Amino acid sequence: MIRQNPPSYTKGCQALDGTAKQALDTARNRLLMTGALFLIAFAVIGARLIDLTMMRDGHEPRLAQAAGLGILKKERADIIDRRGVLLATSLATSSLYANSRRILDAEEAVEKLKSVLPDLDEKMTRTRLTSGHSFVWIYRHLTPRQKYAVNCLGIPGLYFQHEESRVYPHGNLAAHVLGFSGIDHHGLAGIERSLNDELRESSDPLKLTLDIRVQSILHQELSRAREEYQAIGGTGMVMDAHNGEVLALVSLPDFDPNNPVNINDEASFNRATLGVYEMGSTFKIFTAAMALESGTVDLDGGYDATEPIQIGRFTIRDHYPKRRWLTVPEILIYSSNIGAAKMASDVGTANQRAFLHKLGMLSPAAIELPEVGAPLVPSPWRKINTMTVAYGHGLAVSPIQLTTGIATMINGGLFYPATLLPRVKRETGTIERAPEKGEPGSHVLSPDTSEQIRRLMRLVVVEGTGKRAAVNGYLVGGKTGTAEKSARGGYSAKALLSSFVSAFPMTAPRYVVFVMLDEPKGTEETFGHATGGWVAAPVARRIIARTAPMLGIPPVDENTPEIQSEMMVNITPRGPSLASF
Amino acid sequence: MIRPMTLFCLTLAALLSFGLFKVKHKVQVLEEELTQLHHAILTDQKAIHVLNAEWSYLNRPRHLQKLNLKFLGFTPFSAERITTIEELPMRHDLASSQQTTSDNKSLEQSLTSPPSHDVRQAMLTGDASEKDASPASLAINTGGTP
Repeated sequence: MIRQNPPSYTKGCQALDGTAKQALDTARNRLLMTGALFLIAFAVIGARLIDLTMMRDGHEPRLAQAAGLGILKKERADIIDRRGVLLATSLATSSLYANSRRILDAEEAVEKLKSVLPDLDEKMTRTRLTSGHSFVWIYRHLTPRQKYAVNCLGIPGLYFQHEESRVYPHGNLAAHVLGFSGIDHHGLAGIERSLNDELRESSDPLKLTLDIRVQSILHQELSRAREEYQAIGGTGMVMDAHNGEVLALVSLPDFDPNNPVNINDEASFNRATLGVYEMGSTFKIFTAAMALESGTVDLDGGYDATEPIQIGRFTIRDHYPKRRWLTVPEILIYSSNIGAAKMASDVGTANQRAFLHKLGMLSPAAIELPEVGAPLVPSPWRKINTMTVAYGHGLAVSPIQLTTGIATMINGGLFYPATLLPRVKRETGTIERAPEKGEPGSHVLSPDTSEQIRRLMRLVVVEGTGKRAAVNGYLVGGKTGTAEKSARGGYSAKALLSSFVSAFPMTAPRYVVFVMLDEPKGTEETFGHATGGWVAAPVARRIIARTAPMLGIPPVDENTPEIQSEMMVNITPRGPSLASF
Repeated sequence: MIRPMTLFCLTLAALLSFGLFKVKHKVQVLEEELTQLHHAILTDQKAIHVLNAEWSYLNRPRHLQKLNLKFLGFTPFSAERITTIEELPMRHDLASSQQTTSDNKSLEQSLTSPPSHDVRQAMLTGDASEKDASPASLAINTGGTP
């Protein structure tokens, strides 16, 4: 590492001898090296300084964010309806606990607490306060007023713990849809349970398809009818016919999710999705659609309903027998079991089964609720089953399945599984989750058949058993259903399931309305009748009359020739043309 | 002996440390302010959250209906009371005055004014022939309230 000395140096250092000169040279060289190293180090530090101070890149967090602007952290996300109305939220509350070692006089403390918390369990509190533990709960979830009152008592040894409690501002209004969550913020029923993870993870509100206004009207009208006809229960729903979105879903009796402790089994049972019932005559719509679609009969065709059908040990008869040949429209108007059974047996068992499968009648509904009932499907599916299923007996489905099926019948033949989550992304900032099960929009019917079914359903309201559902201006169509509930070893004529399924406006249906009452009793007003046409159809009428303006359905003049011709069905019996053979 | 270079460096160091102190102090003050602001925002958010819940609670449809029956008395209206603007009969003198006056200004005015203005005017000063229209226009007025 010894360099050749420059000539200028050697000139001025003549006196130095070889060794001294060499030592000096080495020192100078080392100094130079060190200096160079320091220079490089300073240069690096300088460059880094410039880089940090002047050429700051995006990696460094901005000050405003670094300081931690807190979005309010909640244990569970809010739930809102389709218009943004708050349905469920978590609110901070205070819970009272005590350090029992610091309690001076347990007896006095209990007495004082009882004066501000009237529903305090005295005995339990006394044992807890004298237990000697340093942490014992006294009272959970105090209201701000109660907290203030407890503070005013000035008892030493009492403390507050911040907690969150789930609050449902609308109480029991959407109880069966929302469900409820437990004290540890875990969903235990309804949407709270099925979307528990989403609700816990997200801070954005979860948007449902419910419309709280429609829900309220449905709840009110159904409650009124249930009271009037002393039904043991009832259920109803409003569904968008074009995408399966559920706008309202009510099951009675219901419960207050704010008070999950007091819920009994009867109230928590969701009749709309968990209950499966033999729906009765509303199924005749499916039978008619199936027959028209397969081409075994057309709207002018018909069947002989003179005699009851005897098959095996069963007899299929009509409730209001006409004892003559009936056209397809007449079979629906008069709700003829014989006609429907013959129609179905012409189509055949295999076809019927395939058709009902496509309609989602043979598998549990796809709705996003944990409480979903599996349909009771006849096994084996014999000819007799084909005939009874044609008029809604022998196959038990949940009301939501039926409503979804009816929506398919009238919307042009597209099957959309029922859903509580909006299908279309409407707004950002809400949890959006596409419905999982089922294939949205799969074809079941041709648009032509769907159009014929619309006419037939309109006809039932204009001419048939559904007259009490008519709302002037909204072209209501529908079908009544009255099923006898199966009792031990047969059917009970006293216990009925009276339902009405309707849609409006029938020229271009937008919404399906389903109403069902469980064991209604006839009143003087209904002349003792408790059938679907008498008790359920008026409920549907009131619901439609109140919701249609709200949902922005423009009323039409039902008597204009265009609409008359659009809804026209030829019902005049052609006579027993078969007899001419 | 202090060389000018050393003097310069010392002065620079003193100035820089003073400047650094000033900046740091200012940042501390600002940070404190920021923390306070965040705290205030969080408090407000909590309050808004509670108020939202209360708003929803007070807007329960059943509750609103009760209040309506007590103070307003609105009832659900029937389909016959809903109509379109096109179907409303025009006010005769208004229509004729528009035809006769060639004044540009008045024509402009009538064009720029919203159609509801005409309707309301027709309703207020309506003559016998427009009596049938009044329930319809009434429905427009009350139609907005649920």
